[in-house]
Amino acid sequence: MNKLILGRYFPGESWVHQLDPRAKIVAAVYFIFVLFLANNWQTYVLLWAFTFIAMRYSQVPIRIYLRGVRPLLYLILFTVFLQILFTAGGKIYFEWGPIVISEYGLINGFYIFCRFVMIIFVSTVVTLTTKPIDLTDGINALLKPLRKMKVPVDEIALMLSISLRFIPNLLDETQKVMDAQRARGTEFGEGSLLKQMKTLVPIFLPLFVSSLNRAEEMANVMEVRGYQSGATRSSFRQLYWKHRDSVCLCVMITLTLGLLWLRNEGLFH
Amino acid sequence: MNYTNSKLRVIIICGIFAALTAILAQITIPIPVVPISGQTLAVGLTATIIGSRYGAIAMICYALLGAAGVPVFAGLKGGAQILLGPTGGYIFGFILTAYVTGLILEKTKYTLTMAMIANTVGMLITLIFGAIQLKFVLDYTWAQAIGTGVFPFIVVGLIKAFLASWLGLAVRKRLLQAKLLPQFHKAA
Repeated sequence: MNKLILGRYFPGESWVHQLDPRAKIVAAVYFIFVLFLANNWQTYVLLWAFTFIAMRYSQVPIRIYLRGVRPLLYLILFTVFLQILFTAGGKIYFEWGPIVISEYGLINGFYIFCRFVMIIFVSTVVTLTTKPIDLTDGINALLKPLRKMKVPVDEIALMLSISLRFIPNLLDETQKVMDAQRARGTEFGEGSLLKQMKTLVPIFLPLFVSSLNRAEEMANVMEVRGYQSGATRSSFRQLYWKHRDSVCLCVMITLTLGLLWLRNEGLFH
Repeated sequence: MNYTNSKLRVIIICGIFAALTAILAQITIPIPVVPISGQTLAVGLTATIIGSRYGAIAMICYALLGAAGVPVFAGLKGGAQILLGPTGGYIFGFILTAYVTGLILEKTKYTLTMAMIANTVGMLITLIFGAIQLKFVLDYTWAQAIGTGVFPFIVVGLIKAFLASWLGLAVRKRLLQAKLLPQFHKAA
């Protein structure tokens, strides 16, 4: 549960850690889109190289990245399996009734596997090297242009930081309520379906009541301190775009050019 | 009590419900045979308690938190890869689910039957969104997508819908008694 509070932030001072959250978010999202340009083994090698360099520069141990893949592994393998079975073409290696394992199937399956794992690795680089609060600041900053379209960006940002701030409190609260009910003799996870559902009421009621109490208190406190929605506000944490952030975006552009080049190379051969 | 700055209250309450969803998503309720993940349950609860608009806003907030990489999704997952990945459709579905569930309740009555109908419709929306994204991300056929993304969850979904309506109504009643729910549905 601690993980929920800290995010998956892995403290460090690496080159990637010091990048601006905006640059990291843009780069990661961009990478996911660029990934679809890959269509032959050369392009995949280039993407893997990029992924490994990013992971290396984050100075986070590889095993932590692998841990991120594990929960999704089952789904990935299942998809790969379907791809292998249902893609036809090329040399046939194995045939048994409707089950055909063909060359294209294997290649496609492998590519899909790579695509998934790379998406996970690259976005994990971002979440491991950025504090949740910086991430929400980054998202907020990136959403700013939407203000012109009447999207209440500042309100959204406020909501996000309130959520983040409340997660640890509410976690504590949940634990306390559960302990209190246990002390009164509630047994969780026993009895019939209906009985178990009934044990949930004395957890949810106090939890929601106390959270809304908190909401009320917080609203009062903010009003007393002069909060006005819609007023221009300055931020305690400032984001600074530095030299290395531009370098990061240049790397992304180079990667795209490299991919486009290798893609055509692949076509000619 | 809350004629001043009710917008602020809405923001705070939506934020808190997003936080509650994040916490409930980590909890698995150990009901025999079908362990129930709190994630979809929280969506139903949110919609039943705070209604269509604010429920949807809370879910947008939840999705954004996740997109920012905070591990708010079930199993302490987070990050844009989850939203864009095979199972991301369910999370986008939550937004419409909360809206529709809340709307049905607002247009009718807050009774157990109506809440049950609203939450069942909501559950189906979540599952359909999930299946659509499953299809496109994994190149499934429609049959495969529905087979892996919808059917296995229907029974559990019905239990959850019941749980969400029942708990949601109980909590809502209590909150209204305690005057903790601002008059959302009329003016906010």
